Amino acid sequence: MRVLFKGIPRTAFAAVLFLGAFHAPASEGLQATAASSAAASRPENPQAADSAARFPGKLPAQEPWERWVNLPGTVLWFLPDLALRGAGRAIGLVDEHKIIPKAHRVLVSEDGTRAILPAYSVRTGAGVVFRKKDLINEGSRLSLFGAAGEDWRHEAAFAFRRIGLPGALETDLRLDYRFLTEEIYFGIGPRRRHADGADYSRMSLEGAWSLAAFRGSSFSLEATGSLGRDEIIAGRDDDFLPIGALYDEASAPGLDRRSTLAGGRLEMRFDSYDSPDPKRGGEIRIASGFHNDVGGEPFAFWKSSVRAERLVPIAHGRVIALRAAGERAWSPARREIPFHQLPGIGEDGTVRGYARGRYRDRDALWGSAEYRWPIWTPHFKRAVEFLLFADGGQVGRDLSRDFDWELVRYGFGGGLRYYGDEGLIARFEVGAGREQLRFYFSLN
Amino acid sequence: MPAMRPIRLLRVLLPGLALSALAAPPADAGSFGDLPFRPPAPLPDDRRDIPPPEERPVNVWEDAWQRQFTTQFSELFQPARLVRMLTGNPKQALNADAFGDVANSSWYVRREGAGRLMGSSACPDTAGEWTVFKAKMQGKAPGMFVKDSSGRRFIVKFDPKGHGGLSTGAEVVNARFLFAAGYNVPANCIVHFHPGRVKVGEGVKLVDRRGRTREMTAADLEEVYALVDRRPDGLIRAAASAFIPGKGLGPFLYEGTRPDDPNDIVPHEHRREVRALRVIYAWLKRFDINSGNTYDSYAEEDGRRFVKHYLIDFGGDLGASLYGPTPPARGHENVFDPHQIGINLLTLGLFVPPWERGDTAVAHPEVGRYHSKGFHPAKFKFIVPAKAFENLTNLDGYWGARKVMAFDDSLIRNLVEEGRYRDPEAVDWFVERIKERRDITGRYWFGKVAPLDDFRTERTPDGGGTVLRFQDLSVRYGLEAAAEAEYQAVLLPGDGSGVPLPAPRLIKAGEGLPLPPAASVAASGYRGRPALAAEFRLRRNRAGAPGEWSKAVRVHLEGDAAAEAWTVIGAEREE
Repeated sequence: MRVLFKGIPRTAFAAVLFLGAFHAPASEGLQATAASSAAASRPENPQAADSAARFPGKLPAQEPWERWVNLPGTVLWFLPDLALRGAGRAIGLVDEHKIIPKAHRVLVSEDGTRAILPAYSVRTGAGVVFRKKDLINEGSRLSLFGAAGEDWRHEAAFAFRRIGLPGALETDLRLDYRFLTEEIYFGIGPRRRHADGADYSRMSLEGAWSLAAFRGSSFSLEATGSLGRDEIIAGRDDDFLPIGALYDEASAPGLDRRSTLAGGRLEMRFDSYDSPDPKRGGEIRIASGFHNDVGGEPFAFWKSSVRAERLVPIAHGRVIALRAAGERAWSPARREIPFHQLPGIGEDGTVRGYARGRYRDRDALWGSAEYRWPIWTPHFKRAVEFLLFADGGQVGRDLSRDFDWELVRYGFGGGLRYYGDEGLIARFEVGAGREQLRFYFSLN
Repeated sequence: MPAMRPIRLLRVLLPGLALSALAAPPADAGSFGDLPFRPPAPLPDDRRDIPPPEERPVNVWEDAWQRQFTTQFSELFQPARLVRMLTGNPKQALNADAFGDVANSSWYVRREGAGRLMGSSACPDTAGEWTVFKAKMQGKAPGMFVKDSSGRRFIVKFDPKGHGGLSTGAEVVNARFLFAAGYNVPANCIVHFHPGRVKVGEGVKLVDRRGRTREMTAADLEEVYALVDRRPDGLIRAAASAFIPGKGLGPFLYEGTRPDDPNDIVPHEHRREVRALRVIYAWLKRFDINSGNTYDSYAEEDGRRFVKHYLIDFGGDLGASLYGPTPPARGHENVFDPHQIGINLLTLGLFVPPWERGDTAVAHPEVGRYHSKGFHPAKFKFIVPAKAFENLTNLDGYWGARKVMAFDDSLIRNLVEEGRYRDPEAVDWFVERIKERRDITGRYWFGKVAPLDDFRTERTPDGGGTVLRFQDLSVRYGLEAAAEAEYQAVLLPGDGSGVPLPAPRLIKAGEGLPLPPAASVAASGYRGRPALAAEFRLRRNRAGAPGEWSKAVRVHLEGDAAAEAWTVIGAEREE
């Protein structure tokens, strides 16, 4: 697979060079350097010019001295120039052959309710998503998503959301399968070192059904029932030791035992964003749920979370986004929490710049300040925004007692976001933590 | 081959650049040439009979890419441009005559008086039936190709729904402005037609939005009508643009020449009338200069067949766009503007562009977003860069500004009224903004050179001598007060030898410069006749304080000793 991907850029480059070679303008370029200097000046005598030729030659765009001065640059730029011209020709061919409308015709239904779109997931990689809107009722949304990435990490998901029920009720159905082959476990607690990392693969399958009640467009209450199964097996990341070499069931509950969790969860959401490309407003989510192993293993735990975001508009589309969140998990006596279900920071959406699950414990708190400003507003399109962020967070056994400013982990970075009419289409972010740079990209 | 390190590369390139700067010729047409002055030979008329060239389709997206990326990057590797910039020697237009003007051509025709008005004879007959013979369904601004009852062919374009008058008004008004300025445009006018009088012709094919080719039906027409407004009486307002006569050859480009047109010998980026379009377009807020908005036709005129160059599609000009009022950023940023993106990025968004801070409200829905506040004639940006516009020099700008300033108030009103706007207040408002932008344009470009022009010699009333008269265009167009203007004139022998003859003198507006008898001047001209050069500078003395002397204009005179007469044979301007 990698070999195949490595070959593609070279082939593509050769193709654009080929196209560019056929597109290079005949009147300019290297051969023109040797053009006669006599042609550089206009004829001094119109009668002589008329008698010499009815149609005099074309006047050169550059004088001889300009050609000589430009010669080194022309030589240096020859190949990139061909490549750019070739890329332009390729764009022209795509347009002339109506490849985009044709692809659109294949991928998106005539009424726009059905579509197959490229997608990219931070966890797994590139894939496709099939979407069908308004299947049962207006606003309902069926989606099938599949993605795969390096080392065969892959994911498949089915979701049928916003199925209308009588009253202001809606229901969602969801089924997710994930096989994440390069997960790292660093142990539990806020002081774990990078060297404590061990590699594992996690295969999970979860189904969920939820019922949501809406009040207006900004408030919702959602109850979710779920059943999920997780299995930990050997990882494929060569940079870390296998998890079995560093941890056992005592230090990593769920390492050797499959968990089969049935759960119930209640979430309240208040959303006052002003648009799909929000510039003001905010969101509060409060959720709590209980999960119990139905496969005979001693796993059972509560998990509660609070997340809040507030957008502070400054002016002219500049926005400061402030986020704060906390998560707590606890278990009844003699019951355990699988290590991969512990709250953590380092996940996308918590503290950027750290590996997923870099710090795990029963409590996690994190916050973020993000400054976004438009850098490019294509005419008739929504803006491309740049953002700078500072994230900070901490995990602990009980942060209401253990919180320590010295154990707060910070991440800084920036990125780009592009919004469409229905919300965020693509984002690319780079976060720097204490140990590494992390890249985040998502599409559709 | 080992890669050359950047420092070593600089060591090689910098001395080369320095040598190139020394080797570069001194400023040519931008400052004064050698004496005796020799007028440049006129270029051959580019409307000579030629065999039919091939149609040359240009893909709009590809052209935009090449202009935005390929050309822009390749210019970074052309140090000659840098050398020219550093030595103050911009490359002047190749088709300017001895006065800096351009001859009538297949690009431009000097129009004056009533000849500047397009007339309305090209309007389709709305009383008869129209037949659609070709579809124009793509894009968000559909239209149709129709034949009227007399068989004349038109492209019919509409306003975006909810924006009555906006695009159709711009289409008609701007075409007429550019026609009056001397350029070739299709004849067009506003029409109100009844949809019931339109039928689809036999076998008309269309490519729908999803790329499928099929036969056009009446339902497709209804789809078009659904996207536009109808008046209460059921009529639909549209801009009807007459088909350009001759065989269509595809667009012309803002650089290079058409290889198969032997008349087309001047690279377009070095044509003064093409470069100066930047000035005129900025005034008229013609932002969209993609290759789809130009057109070459193999036309026949006076028995000669040649390529004639047209400007087309004006529905997105002035304050309009095909979607509604023009977006605020238009004219201030290219669609993809790396320079502006870089500024936005590096200043962390703390720099808010003036257009974003300023008043971007739409004053009149029919007119759209066309403001004079914040307008800068030299900073207007287009959808993508154009090489011809990047080559604009002060002399090109001055030429363009002269065209702009030649639109007097009544002509502007006359042309705007051709848009047949419903709201008289909108017309008044629009006319005022166009006038304001015109004056801003004139002030800017006239400030870059000495705006003295229309040089002519006159016999003194007593018949005993000759004076050289001129016009200060800033005064003539009311941009500056005559009382504040003061001019310095110096006479030079025509061969450039010796000291000025006589001593420099100051003259006031309306005065002429007395010339010595031609018989008393040495026959030092390029044709062996008496020759003189008169150099003028001007200053504006505001509030009693003397201003700075401007750059100079050098006027060349050729004498006729026997007739005791002087003739102006050229004028050069300091860039």
